[in-house]
Amino acid sequence: MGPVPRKRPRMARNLGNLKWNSIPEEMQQMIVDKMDRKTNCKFMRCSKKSENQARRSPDYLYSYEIREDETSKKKMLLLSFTKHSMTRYWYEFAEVQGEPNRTVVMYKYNSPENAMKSVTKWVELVDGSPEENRLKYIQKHIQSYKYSIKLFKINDSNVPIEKFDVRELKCLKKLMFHFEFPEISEEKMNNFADIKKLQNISNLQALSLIFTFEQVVNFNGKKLVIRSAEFNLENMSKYLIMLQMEDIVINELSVIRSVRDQFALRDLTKNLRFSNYVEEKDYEEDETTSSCTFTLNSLNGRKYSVTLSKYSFEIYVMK
Amino acid sequence: MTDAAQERSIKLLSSDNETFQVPRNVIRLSNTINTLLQDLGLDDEEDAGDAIPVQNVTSTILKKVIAWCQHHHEDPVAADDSDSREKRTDDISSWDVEFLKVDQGTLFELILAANYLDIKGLLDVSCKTVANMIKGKSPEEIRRTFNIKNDFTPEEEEQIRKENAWCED
Repeated sequence: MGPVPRKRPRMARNLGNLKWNSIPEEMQQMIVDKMDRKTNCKFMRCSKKSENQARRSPDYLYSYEIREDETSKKKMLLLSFTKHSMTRYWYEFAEVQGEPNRTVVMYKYNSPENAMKSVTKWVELVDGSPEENRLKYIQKHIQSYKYSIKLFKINDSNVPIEKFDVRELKCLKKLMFHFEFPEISEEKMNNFADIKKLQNISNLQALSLIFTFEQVVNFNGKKLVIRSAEFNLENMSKYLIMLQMEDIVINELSVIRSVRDQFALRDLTKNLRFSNYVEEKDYEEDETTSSCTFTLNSLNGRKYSVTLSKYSFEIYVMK
Repeated sequence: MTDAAQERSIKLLSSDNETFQVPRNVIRLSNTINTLLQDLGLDDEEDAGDAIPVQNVTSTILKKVIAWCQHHHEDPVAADDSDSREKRTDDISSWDVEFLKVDQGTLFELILAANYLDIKGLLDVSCKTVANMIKGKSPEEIRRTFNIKNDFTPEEEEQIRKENAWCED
């Protein structure tokens, strides 16, 4: 009796012996679409074709990027997802005043799918320094599915991203005070004249954050939400004035920061990139009325003339 | 579909000419067969009639597909897999896990059959199973598994590695 013929190994029919290219394109994409983020990410690195397929896959995390604002030195983490090419999450990390091992994490979410929900911000207080948390968020949260981001708790209840929009600002305010940030005086609350102080401040590393002012005004028939926040650093006050325009056509969140050369407009329609800063020549102060006027250049080419005074705020679109 | 139609059987003919008699309410999971029966006006006929040729599916695979449909035919209709649903690959039922413990060639053929017969649940679970096989592998291991040729230039590879640095172990 001769030698027993060796059985053909079962692996002969394995996918390992199939070429990816021999699988119909549609099936390939279906399989890629089922991959979790991490697998998808690794698959992307296999070849140009697989890169293309992975990028087409729904909700694939395309990239993350930590940007540092040149002027304020504030670091932000930008997450981009491919499914909706403009869907982005911004994270800001700031140290809690007097508590170097606690961090305020602020989140912004922009989705072009639904303009009414396109500007959102969440706040979370977590243990660890801002640096540690940046790292944690990259290593942990980003790898998980995007909807894990809905871990944010507002009044101890999970609020899905889809149901949380700019109209929930009051929740944010409550949340901030829930964390027992120091109250700010009534006098300060509406005192925009204090903006002048900001001119001396060059570093906007926020150590504490208080929403001090919130007002909804009618701007050319559109709802404009103005919020200001105070940051404290070494006993100096800084203000962050946030303008949120609720508009189904354009969605812009402008953040005006501290000194005049830090005034900037973030244009969500252009992927949240900073526009040109306000130039000296475009900035004017009126001592008598304690107001200032400046021009903001939007990335979409529009110019805005903004006037801040003690009790008022005006913004005009310039022709 | 009427009650009578639900109770009757349908004959399916595999690509290698084997005939399978399948309860109508089991094969309802196949949108392709559903549409065919409705378009041809055969849904209300009592006689099973001629076998429906399933040309792209062998008897071995068709038997598996029917077994899967038999197990799942009373499942509630799955919600649409829309954006709002979390993308998960760990939600495969234990029955399906056992069912899909087949050699990878069979698994691949099941995917093709599920796609051809338009059986969403089976397609979903079998694609997830393949995706899970890739899970935990390095790009190089994935290339080996699928015979994928690395056509990146060193510069491109470095760029994409940097871009995806977060997924490094």
